[in-house]
Amino acid sequence: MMLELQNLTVRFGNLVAVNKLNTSVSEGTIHSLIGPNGAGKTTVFNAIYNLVPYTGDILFSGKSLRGVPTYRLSEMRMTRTFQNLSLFYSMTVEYNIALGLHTAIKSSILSDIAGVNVYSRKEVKQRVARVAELVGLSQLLNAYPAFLPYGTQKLVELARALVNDSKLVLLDEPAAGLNAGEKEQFKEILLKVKQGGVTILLVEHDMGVVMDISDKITVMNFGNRIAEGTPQEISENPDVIEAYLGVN
Amino acid sequence: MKKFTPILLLVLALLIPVIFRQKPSLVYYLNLSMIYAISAQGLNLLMGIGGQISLGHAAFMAIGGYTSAVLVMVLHVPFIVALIAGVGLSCLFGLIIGFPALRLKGFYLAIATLAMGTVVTDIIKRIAITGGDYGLRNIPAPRLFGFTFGSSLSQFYLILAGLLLAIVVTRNFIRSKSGIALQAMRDSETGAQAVGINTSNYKLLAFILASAFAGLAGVLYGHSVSYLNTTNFGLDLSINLLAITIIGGMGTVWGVVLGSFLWVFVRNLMGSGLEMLTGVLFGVILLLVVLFLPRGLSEIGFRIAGRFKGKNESS
Repeated sequence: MMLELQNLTVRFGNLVAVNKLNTSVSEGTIHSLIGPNGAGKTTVFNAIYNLVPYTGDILFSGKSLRGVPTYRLSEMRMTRTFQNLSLFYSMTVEYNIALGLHTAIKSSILSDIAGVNVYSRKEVKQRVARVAELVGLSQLLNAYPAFLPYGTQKLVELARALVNDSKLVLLDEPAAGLNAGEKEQFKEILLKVKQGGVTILLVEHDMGVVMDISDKITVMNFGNRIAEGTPQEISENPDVIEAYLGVN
Repeated sequence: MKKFTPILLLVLALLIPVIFRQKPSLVYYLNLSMIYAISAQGLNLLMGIGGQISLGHAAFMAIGGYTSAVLVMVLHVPFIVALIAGVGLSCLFGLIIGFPALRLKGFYLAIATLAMGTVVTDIIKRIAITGGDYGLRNIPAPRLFGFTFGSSLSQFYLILAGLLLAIVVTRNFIRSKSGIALQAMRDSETGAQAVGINTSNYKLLAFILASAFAGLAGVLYGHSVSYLNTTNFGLDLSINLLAITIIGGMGTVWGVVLGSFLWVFVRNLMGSGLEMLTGVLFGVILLLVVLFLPRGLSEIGFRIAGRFKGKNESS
C-alpha cells in the first residue's frame, strides 16, 4: 500500500474533526476523498503533513509518518498542492517548478558563497521541461505566475509537485475555480500522471471530476467515513446521497 | 557594457578619495556610508530575501564593534583576530535571536528583535570593560599585515574592501540554492515546506548572515571612528538601517548601497542651518519611495535599464 490511515483521529478541543478513519491508498491509483464542507478532508491532509496533532497512525510505503517534519516528506517523494495556491510569486514558472527539486539537488556552503545556481544545471532544466510538457506549460516557463490565469497557476503547482518523481501526490481541491474546459484538461493531465505510475490522493468537491477519474472514493461526513468504494458504488450509496442531498 | 559596469564603478570608487583628498570630512562620510551599507546589506538579506524583520539590527553592530575594540585594547589581540572574533560573536547572537524567530512572525518578531536590541546594548553598557555610559575612546586604527590604516583615506580602501566582500557575498548568495530557498520561503512558507525546504534552518541562516554583516560593519565602525557608545547603536540606528534598506530597495544589492549614501549625506551634509530638517527630509524621501517606488531607488535603475533594453530591441 502506498498510504494507510489507521484509526486516524484529529481533535480540535471538543470537536472531533476526523474520527477513527481507516483507509488505504493503493499504488498507482487515483483515490478521492470527498464529503460536504467540514467533513474533515483537508484535516486528513494536514495530519498526513504533520500540521495538526493526531492519534492513530499514518503509514507511507509501510513507514510511519509520526513525527516526520513536513519538509522531509518531499525527500520521501510525497508532495502536495494546496486549496489556496502557495506559489512563489517573485519567481518564474520555471523556478517555481524547479524548486520542487530542492531536496534532490545537493549544494554546499562553498557553492552558496560562490553563487552557483544549481537550478540552471542541464539535468534540472531537462526535468523541468519534461514535467512542463506533461502539464502543458512548456511555453510559459519564463512567465511569472501572477500574470497567468488561475487554472494555469494550479498547473504550475501541480508541476512543482510532480517534478521530483513523486510516488504520492496529495491534491487539495485542484479543480476549484476552474472553468469547464480547464477541468477537462485537468482530468486528462491527472490520468496521464497516473499512467506514469504516480499515486494520487485527491480532495475534490467537483463530482464530475471525481467520478470520471477516481479508482476508489472514500466519503467522509462530520469526520467519519460513511462509505468507500468505486465511483459506481459510491454514486448508488444511500448514505452518500443523504449526506450530500440531505434526503433518502 | 553591462559586463564592464562593475569594473568602471570600482575604478571610480578607488579614485574618489584621491579626488577628494583635500576634503577629509567628505572621505570620512564616504567611509560611514560604506559601513552602514555593509550593515544594511545584512538587513537586506534578512528582510528583502528572507522575508523576516529585525528592529534590533544595530545591536549586532554593537556586538561586533565592542568585541573587536575590547580585544584589541585590553588583550592586545591583532586586529584581524579581533575582527574575526567580532563577526563570530555577532553571528552567535544572530543564531540565538534566530530561535524565537522560528515561532514569531510580523509584529511579534519586530517586537522580539527590538527587545533583543535594547537588552544587548543595555548589557554592554553595564560591563565595566566597555566603558559604561562613557563608551570606549581612542580605539586603535585597524592594523593589517604591518600597515596601519590611520587616516580616513587609507581606511576608505579597507572599508571599500569590506563593502565589496559584502556585495559579492550577497549577490552570490541570492543566486545560490540557499538564497533561492529563502526567497521561496519569503513568498510562501507553506509552499516552501511542501517542496522540502527546512524553513527553520533557513530562517536561522538568514539571521546569522545578517548579523555577520552587521558585526563586520560594527568592527569597521569602531576602529575607524575610534569611539564607541551604546547610544550610537540603539533603536534609532536600527530604524535608520531599515529605512536605508527600504529606500534603496529591498532585495537589491546596489540599491542598499545607494540608500546608505543618501542617508549619510542627507544627515551630515545639509549645511547652512538646514541640519534640523534632515530628519524631515529623510522622512519625506522614505514616504515618497514607499508610495511611488515600491522597489526603492533601484527601481529607477530598473526602469532606465528597461527603456534601454526596449530601445535596443525595437531598433
